[in-house]
Amino acid sequence: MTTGPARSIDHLRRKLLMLSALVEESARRSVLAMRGKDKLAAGAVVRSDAEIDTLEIAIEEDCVALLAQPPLRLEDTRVIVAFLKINTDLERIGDLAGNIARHVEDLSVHEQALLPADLLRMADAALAMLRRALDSFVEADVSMARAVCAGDDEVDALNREMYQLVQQRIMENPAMTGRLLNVLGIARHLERIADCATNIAEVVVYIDSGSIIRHGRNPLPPESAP
Amino acid sequence: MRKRRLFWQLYTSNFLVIFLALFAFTFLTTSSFQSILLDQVSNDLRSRVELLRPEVVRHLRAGTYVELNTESRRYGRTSHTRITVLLANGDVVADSERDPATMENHARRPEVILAERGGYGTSTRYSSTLRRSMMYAAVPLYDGNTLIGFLRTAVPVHRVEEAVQRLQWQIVLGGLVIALIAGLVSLAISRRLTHPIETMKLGARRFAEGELDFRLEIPESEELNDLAAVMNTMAAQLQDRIGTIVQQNSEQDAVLSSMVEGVLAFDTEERLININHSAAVMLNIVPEKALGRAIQEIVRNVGLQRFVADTLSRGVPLEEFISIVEDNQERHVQLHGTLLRDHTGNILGVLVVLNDVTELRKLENVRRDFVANVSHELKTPITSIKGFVETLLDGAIHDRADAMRFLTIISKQADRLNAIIEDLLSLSRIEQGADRHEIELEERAMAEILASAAQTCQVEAEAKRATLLIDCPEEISAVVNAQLLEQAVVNLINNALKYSDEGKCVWISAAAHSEDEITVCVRDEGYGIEAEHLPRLFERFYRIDKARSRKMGGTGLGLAIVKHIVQAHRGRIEVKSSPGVGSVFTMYLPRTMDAAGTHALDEVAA
Repeated sequence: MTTGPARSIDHLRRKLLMLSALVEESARRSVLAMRGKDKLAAGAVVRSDAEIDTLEIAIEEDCVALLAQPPLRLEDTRVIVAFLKINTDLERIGDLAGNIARHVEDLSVHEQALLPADLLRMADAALAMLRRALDSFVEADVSMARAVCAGDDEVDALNREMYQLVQQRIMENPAMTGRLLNVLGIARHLERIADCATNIAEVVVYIDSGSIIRHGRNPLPPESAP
Repeated sequence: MRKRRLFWQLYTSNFLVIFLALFAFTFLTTSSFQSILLDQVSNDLRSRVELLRPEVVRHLRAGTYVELNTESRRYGRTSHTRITVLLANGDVVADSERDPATMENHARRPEVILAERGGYGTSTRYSSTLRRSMMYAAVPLYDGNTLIGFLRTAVPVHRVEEAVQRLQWQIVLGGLVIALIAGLVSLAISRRLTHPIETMKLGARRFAEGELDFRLEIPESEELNDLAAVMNTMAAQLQDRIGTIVQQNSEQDAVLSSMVEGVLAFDTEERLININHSAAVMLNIVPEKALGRAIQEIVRNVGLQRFVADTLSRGVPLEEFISIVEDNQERHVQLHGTLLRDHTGNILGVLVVLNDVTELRKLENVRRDFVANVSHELKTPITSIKGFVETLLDGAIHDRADAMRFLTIISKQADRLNAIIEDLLSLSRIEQGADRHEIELEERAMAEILASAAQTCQVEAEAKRATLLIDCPEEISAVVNAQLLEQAVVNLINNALKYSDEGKCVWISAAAHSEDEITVCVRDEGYGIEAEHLPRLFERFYRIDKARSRKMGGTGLGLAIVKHIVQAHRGRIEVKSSPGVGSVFTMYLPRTMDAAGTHALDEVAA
């Protein structure tokens, strides 16, 4: 069903959902590896990125092929364009999960090191946003999608706090700088996963209403966020 | 085709038959009636002609046309008959109604022509002279053999036509009455026919809506009676079958939902057609929302998605392990997939059975880790012993001071090996004893045991200038193995001392927790333990800080032994700790043998 080039929008949608499953699992694994400072698990996340990239390229080609098949109704075109956007965001989340995993590989040397509670909270919040964004896509639930967009501020705030915390700890204990920079890196990537989840939620709203909310609602476009 | 009501079908056919019969009847009756009447008139005319014939012949022979005319008028008036006399050439010489001089030649009149040919002629037509429908009868008049003229008599026939018309009107009127009656009769018949059919239609609709305990009334007519009986039987049988199916379904549902394994079924389009409770919990699915939807929509797990697709495309039973990544843990699930087929062998979809093997994996890992850890723990002192022995053999033995120092180290490492092996042996003794129920339990006062344990640890306590405080009411007692419990308390006190700074206190207390249980508590003011270590604290060889623990002479088995001792008593152990403040280890022990028994059952149920 999900192998081979997509013949219909439904088929394409299923492939995209498959990619979303891969990416969400990858993100979860990276956070799980972070919690356990598990080098092996982190390595598995880094390696899984190749599979995500392959599927992303296949989906993009399918989208282009479907767009080249007239006659297409306006709604169909909009859906395919939306799929393209979600596809890109998913691939980016896959990359970010890989980046987190690389930081975890570095961190795992310090087995006894404790992670800041805020980092764990950030990870939970970002994963929850990703899950809800994908749920809103599956269920075509616009109100859930809007709620996801609204939740981005919390992760942004946590990220800023993390930045200050790391700055302060480095000043207190310069020997821990390397370790703390890894923590900061993870926080930044988590924040960008939350941004990508927000993008996906915005596309869900776009599919439903055709209206583009991304620049109206967010004072900062996701790409230029810290 | 447009459906017509039964009434109209009946009515039109009834009416048509009646109408045709009436029409034929009218036609036949009126035409024979008319001909009878006209025959009568014709006979009448003929007899009048015959009566007049000798008189007219006489006048014609004599040529007295004026007298003839006067005679004609007289006869005509008395017999209500028009009498006309013509010469052989057709000229009118006498007429009872009109002046013969003004009348045209009558030679071409049909009755005259007929009379000339056959001796008698009649004709019925509209008289332009008298402006009415008349019947004419004419006879030729002879003088010897010579044709000398014609005598014609005529009577109006409008009475006949009137009579016929009257008859026709009566029949039409009668026809209308009959049509009305036919309509009423048709209505009555159709009512009688359709009423039971309507009732049966309503009944059948109720059957269709699932109201199978409804029964149709039995109508009067035989055919409908049979039909109703058949329908009632059908409803009863349907109800039976549906009942059986519902029961089988609920039995299957009960079996499915009580299974520990998750069960999922997908159709050939990979849409969910069935899911049991375990699978819904395992995959975090709301069954009501998920049924009929594609697997990609309901399960965001690529392993499972691929497994379903593989099973469908390869058509052979498959087995695979996948992992489900949750927020705080990863779960391992074993999948079994088979194709679902209907009784003719068509592929309906795929059935997947999920088996959560996370706990099994964990146990396997614990065992694997244990072997690795034991080897590692034993190897460390042996490497050290071997190293120093080799150094001694290489010549260090000749330097007495060095030799003494090395031998001391070797002795210490041998002690350590011994301690590890002792601990391992006592662990396995406790485990085996617990398994075989060989551990002897007897009711003992706690105060005595706690005091004895504190006594054992006194030397270490003094070395750290620590204070051991015992708080135990005399009456607290429980069913224990005194030797084992003392060992557990000693281990806890030793740990408390090891991980505290000098000069701190350790509280050892026992108290009644409930009717069935007592608690034994060891509290310290030590370094405390981070929350993330607590779940694994009682695992064998689990160390928070490996280097520090070894330096302090721990074997890594102390708390594992405590846990096993508590389990052998059918109790449980809890730990609460906050870094920098201290830790509290609490053992919950059953007071009596009975309590121990019920508690064990609780544990099984949980």
